Amino acid sequence: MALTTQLSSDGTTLTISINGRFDFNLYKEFRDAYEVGLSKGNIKIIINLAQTEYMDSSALGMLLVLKERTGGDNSSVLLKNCNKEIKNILAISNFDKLFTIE
Amino acid sequence: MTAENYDPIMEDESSMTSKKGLSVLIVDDDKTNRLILTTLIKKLNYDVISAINGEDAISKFKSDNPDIVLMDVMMPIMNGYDAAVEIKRLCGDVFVPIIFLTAITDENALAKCIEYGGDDFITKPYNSIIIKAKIDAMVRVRELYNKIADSRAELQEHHSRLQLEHEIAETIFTNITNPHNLEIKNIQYMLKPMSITSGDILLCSRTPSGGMHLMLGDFTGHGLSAAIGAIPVSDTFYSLSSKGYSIGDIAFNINKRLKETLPSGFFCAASLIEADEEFRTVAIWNGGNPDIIITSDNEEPIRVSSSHLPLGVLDSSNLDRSVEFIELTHGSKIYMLSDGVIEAQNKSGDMYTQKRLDEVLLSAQKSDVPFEEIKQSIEIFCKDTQQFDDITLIEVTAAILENPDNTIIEKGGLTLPPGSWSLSVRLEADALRKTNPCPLITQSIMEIQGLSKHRERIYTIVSELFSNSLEHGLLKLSSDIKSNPNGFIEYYNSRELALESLTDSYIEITLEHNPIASGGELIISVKDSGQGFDISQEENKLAENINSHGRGIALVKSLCSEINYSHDGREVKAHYVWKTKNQT
Repeated sequence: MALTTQLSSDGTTLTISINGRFDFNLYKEFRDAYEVGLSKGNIKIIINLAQTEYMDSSALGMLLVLKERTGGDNSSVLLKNCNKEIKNILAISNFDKLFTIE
Repeated sequence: MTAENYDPIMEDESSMTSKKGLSVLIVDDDKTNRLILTTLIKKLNYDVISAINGEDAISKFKSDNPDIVLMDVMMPIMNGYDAAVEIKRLCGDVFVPIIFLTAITDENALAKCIEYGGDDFITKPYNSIIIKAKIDAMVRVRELYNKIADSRAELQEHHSRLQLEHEIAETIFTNITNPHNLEIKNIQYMLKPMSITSGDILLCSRTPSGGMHLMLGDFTGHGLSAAIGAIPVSDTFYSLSSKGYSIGDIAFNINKRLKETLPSGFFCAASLIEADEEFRTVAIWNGGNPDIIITSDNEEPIRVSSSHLPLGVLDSSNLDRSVEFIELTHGSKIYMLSDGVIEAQNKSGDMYTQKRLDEVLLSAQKSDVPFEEIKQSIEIFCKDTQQFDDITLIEVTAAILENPDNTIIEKGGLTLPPGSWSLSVRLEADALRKTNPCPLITQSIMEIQGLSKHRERIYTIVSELFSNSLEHGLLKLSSDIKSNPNGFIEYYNSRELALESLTDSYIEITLEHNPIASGGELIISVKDSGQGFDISQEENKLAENINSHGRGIALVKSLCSEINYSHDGREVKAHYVWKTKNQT
């Protein structure tokens, strides 16, 4: 599976992990994943990029939509476990200014 | 009941209507058989049409468009097989089931019915239950067939509409990114789009003061969505560039337009550069594109990394207009690229990478045709592979720009008869920090007086006088700084700082226009609240300006009929004279 989701046992945090290429092909799946989580109420979303090999601009776009969906500037979406390649992509686009990256 | 009694009804049967609205064509040379079938089928609520042989069947088929055909085999004039072949041919893509009526029990003959285009057969003597079942089944098949045919037609229509839209998008995109704007000798570029319409956009224009603006944009996605985004981007770019706005302002306004028009998650990574006519310095704004690399002889390449977010992401109030200034030497080369270059893949799925590009860039500088070398390296690398993204690479060489062709800046342009008018603008410290009034003022003159052929010269006069008043009159900067190495950068940094702490100051720009015998005279006066200067002493310095910095008051002098300082150098008046057409 290119995308897996995991809800924390207390139900407050949804982790979406992306394996392989994070690009336009995941558009629907990615949106469905966080929409299901958000429909359950106020929930913190973590995007786990540990197994992500590559991100294209559509993926950045999807993250941007998620950020807006979760409160824009007040959004608490967290990007976790970025490898060097992903960090570089986030840095070139300056998305590191928009998201909390761990 | 005898057959004869029913005959009159039979001849009139097609005029009867039925609940289902479907009609059945009965083809049989035997009157009794026709009668029996007609009675049976009418009971099933179908309309009935009848024909007496194959030839009659074809003509009834043409005139009455039946939905189902019941066809006897052995008939005079034309038999059922031949009639079936012709009817099927007439049907084309429409499915009209043909059911053969046959007394034959010979299996080969039955097979022949199907071979000649029949869809089923009913053996005599007729059994009403079997006839009903077979006709109902055929109606079902016919409905299914029609449904599929409809979907196919719909799909085909969608497909051709999509194709048309793609073609429109392609035309729009090509018109917008028309390379005629890129036919400036200093620029070489490669554009390798992934789909018919590229997500990369390359825009170039000459500024009113003779310099150049260049923008490389990389949209999220390709095709139609990119073409849609390209419209506001190029509109804003060309309109602001021709009015003399800076690239920081252009980036700001494109961001605003995109943020307002595009759905979120859709944006444009962009790098913009602005060069003066002599290519001494270049201003760079990079938001989301890979490093811009500047090479000069015997020097380490300079890199300008992206320091802004792509356009269309931030609310306009948060967009940072600040640019980086780099000084160039003659022959310096500026390389701009989209991420498609460094992410291009070869057959084994390896990426081209920034590292490889850096190495190729460096070694290519030894060549006479560096751009060709870099281009070849990329092309060889991704030969015979599927392309995942648009690839764009630009090389700009620092060399004096040739005089712009007027058609690029302004196509024709209307000049209005010389009128009498004046216009005055006063900017206090706050406004001076935030705005550059020169593009707006030049534009106002164009609106009031036309004069688009004079735009470049008028803009030069206004902006030179304004920046002199601001930088020397109010900010007290010394242009001596500019003669040091790295002077331009230092100069702009101190300009920034001084501007930040400016208080209780103003600049007043007044335009006055009057008709004169030969045409019109425009007097541009700029007054500042600074301490002024010794006019006679400054004259010499200003005269030198043309040697060290190209532009300056000396240039204004050459454009104007008269230039006077007054109020201890706090006010300057420049007289610009233009001639009406019959005078030139």
